[in-house]
Amino acid sequence: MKLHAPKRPPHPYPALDVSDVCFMSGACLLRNLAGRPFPTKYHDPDKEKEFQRADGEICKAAGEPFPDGTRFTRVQPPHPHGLVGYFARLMHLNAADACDELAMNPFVSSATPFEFIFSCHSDHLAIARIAPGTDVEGPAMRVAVLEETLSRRLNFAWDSSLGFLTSSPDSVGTGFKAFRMMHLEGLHEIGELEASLHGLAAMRIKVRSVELDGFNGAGHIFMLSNGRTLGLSESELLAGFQAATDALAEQEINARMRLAGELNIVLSDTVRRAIAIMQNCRMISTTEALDVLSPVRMAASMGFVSGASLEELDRAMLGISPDSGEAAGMTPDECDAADAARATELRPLAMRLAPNVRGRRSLQ
Amino acid sequence: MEAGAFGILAREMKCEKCHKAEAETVIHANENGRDREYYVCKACAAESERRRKAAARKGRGKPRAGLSLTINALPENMVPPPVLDALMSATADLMGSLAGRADAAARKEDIKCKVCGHTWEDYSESGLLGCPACYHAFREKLEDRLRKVHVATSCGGKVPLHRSGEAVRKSIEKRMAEAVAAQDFEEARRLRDQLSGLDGGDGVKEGE
Ligand SMILES: [Zn+2]
Ligand SMILES: [Zn+2]
Repeated sequence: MKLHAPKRPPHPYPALDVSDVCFMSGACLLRNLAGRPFPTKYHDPDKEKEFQRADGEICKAAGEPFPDGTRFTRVQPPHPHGLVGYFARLMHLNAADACDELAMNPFVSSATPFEFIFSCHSDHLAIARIAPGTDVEGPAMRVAVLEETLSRRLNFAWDSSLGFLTSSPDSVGTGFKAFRMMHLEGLHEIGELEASLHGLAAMRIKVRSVELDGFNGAGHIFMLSNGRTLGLSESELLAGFQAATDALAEQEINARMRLAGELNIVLSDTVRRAIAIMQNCRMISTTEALDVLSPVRMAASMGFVSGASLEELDRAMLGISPDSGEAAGMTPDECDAADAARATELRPLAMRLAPNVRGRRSLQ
Repeated sequence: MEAGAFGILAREMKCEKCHKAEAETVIHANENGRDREYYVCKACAAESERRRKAAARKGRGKPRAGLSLTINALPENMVPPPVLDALMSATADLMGSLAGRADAAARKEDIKCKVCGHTWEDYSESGLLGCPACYHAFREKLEDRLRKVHVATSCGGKVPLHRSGEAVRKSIEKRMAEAVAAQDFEEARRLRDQLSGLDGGDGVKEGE
């Protein structure tokens, strides 16, 4: 099954492309040391020695210079906050969490930003490259090169039938994950989001959304990754993922163009309401903050809103940590205080926002 | 909210749990084996989610093997009439054997990895295995999951450097022989292609 991606209707605005829809992309390879328990077992007190041995082995292997001169150095894993941290946690790719739980943790970072080799909750090694933008091919090739060097220094758990053995059977085989974090506000507003996400599921693309207080999909930001890792080669998995997410981006762009044209009143209403809420609220939850920033960020990407740059809006949106609040053990009073602080923080930005000349004509 | 001012009656439904706030979302609950929907407020939805997670952590809410409920429920000082007594002891025997069988089934069900001690139940709870050997211990049971997630049950990806060459050739040849013996010619053909790929390659091979 293919995602339906009709030709874009003609429009008078600067053409949108995948980069307007995609916050960040990356690729990751999961590996484990042969004959060792997975980090899932390290909670057993008697497995601590095993862990320290694996830890030392990984740090030694990753600490030696790579053939191209890249050097990874051991650092304290940063606690990724905001949406990126939230999704990293959902994807079991959060080194800081594993570090806290397991007392120590190999985490190395290269001098180039965005490249990491670390232990996560489930697997000994995650070799990842994550960067803003839309490129998944570059990161996929890069992690393959890093993995090859590491595979000369470490003995990875591998089976001739199942391929690389990971702690979750859902990533066994290649252990390869490509991902893109995408903003699908347009599809939501025209009411086609669910159908598009169903289409992705049929193509075995895994969709993760911001789930909060029983609500799903706050901010209409989704982390997409390949659901399959077995039975196909890394390059086939990558090509499939890229084609599916490119088609989705095309659908989102079409939705935005429809909102700029025939569904203008819907866009105008949503954006004006969102700005008004941000300007007037005195308390705002993470869910609501994401939900109001989302249409504003979309309108800004279409060139309809001035007063704040797209980068500023992205920072505001990505800075929101959905897993704070009661879920993180805050008392109701602390939650209220956090909601009030969030409103105070958003207000100066919101006060500057206004539909611009193009927006005033379009956002009637 | 102005009652019915804009004809938005549907939005004025009260939360079915606290009966105070407006219902804003729907949660699904399983009560005595039946699925039920509740329209609830945000706070109650969050509370329900927390309880569900806490229950899952403690392993509660799972059906338990064994049927000892009715027999032991009789107060000790109550002497059952003879007929009932006979009936009860017969029932107790039957139940005892049923419970025994259920226990045995549960024990048999819970396969254990000999290397790391991870059980199938551990996997079912976390979705994670304990060590590379778990794949062999749970091989049969994992097939369904692999087929569901990946549509495939064997790898088409890269072969690690240290396993290239003779080790890989031997293992592929062995599996090819097994596939032929089982008349799985598709698998045999796939493995043959994998073998021929090894010949020309430098040891690192992308599968078909
Ligand atoms: Zn309630
Ligand atoms: Zn095991």
